[in-house]
Amino acid sequence: MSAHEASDPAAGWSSPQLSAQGIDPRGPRFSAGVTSVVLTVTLLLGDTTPALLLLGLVAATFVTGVVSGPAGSLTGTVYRRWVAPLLPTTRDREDPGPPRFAQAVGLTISAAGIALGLIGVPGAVPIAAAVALVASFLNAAFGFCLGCELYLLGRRFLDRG
Amino acid sequence: MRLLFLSLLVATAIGVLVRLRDGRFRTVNPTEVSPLASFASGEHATFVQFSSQTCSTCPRSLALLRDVADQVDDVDVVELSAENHMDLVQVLDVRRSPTVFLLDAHGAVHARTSGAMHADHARAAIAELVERKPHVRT
Repeated sequence: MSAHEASDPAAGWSSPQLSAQGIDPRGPRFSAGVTSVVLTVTLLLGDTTPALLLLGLVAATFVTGVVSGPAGSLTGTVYRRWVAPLLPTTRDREDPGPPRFAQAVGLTISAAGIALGLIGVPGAVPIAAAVALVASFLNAAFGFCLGCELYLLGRRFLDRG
Repeated sequence: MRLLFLSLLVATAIGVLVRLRDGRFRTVNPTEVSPLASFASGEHATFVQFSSQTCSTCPRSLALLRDVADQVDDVDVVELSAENHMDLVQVLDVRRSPTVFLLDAHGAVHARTSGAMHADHARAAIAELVERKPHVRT
């Protein structure tokens, strides 16, 4: 048996108390699923005004996710009110910080697409929607959070400069 | 329409690749000086996990490594916050969290992996360390 487990004092934020206050990890995946469907429709609409409006809707839900956290976002609220009660209960919990960061990444991408689309850059809306779809589909289908992965690389890049 | 298929294809390819690679330890050629030597608290082996603030799977991964370590003699688990050890993150080329290093008794890096952990892979990495032990350093 390992007699003692040395732990870095600075790493105290990460684990044990999470089980008490974390969120249901299926929530962000549900949200990513809804986002994937909306982004799919956006891509099917091509480079049109309705597509731009739908991407705006996606960006708006990302805003609610960044402001209120993944459990309090528009889709997160739908999940907690109407979807979670239908599913078997789980004691699995995750830190809401990472998915919140990922929502900020999603917001940046979709906002860039909207801004460029509004000033008339051709293809901006579909390309932004495609990039966001890759991330949301990875999250929904594989539970892999691409936005979260970008964090450490970003820190490394900033650290070097 | 083409863009839709392309993004779904790219996402699926990435997802499958990540699933295949996650938690699989790959052996690292031992270096002269191990930057992690000071964290080798296990008599026999030590898992060093780099966690970060935006890592949802890190707590789960750490708990799994602790479970594995508890079943083997003299294996410890150490968690480091990547944000507070950016020098090590750069030197060791840590790109994702969690990234886990398996150290031998001397603190030399034997193997590394990243992403979601699997108990079987972690146990296999320890077992491989036992086999290799007589050949490493004298």
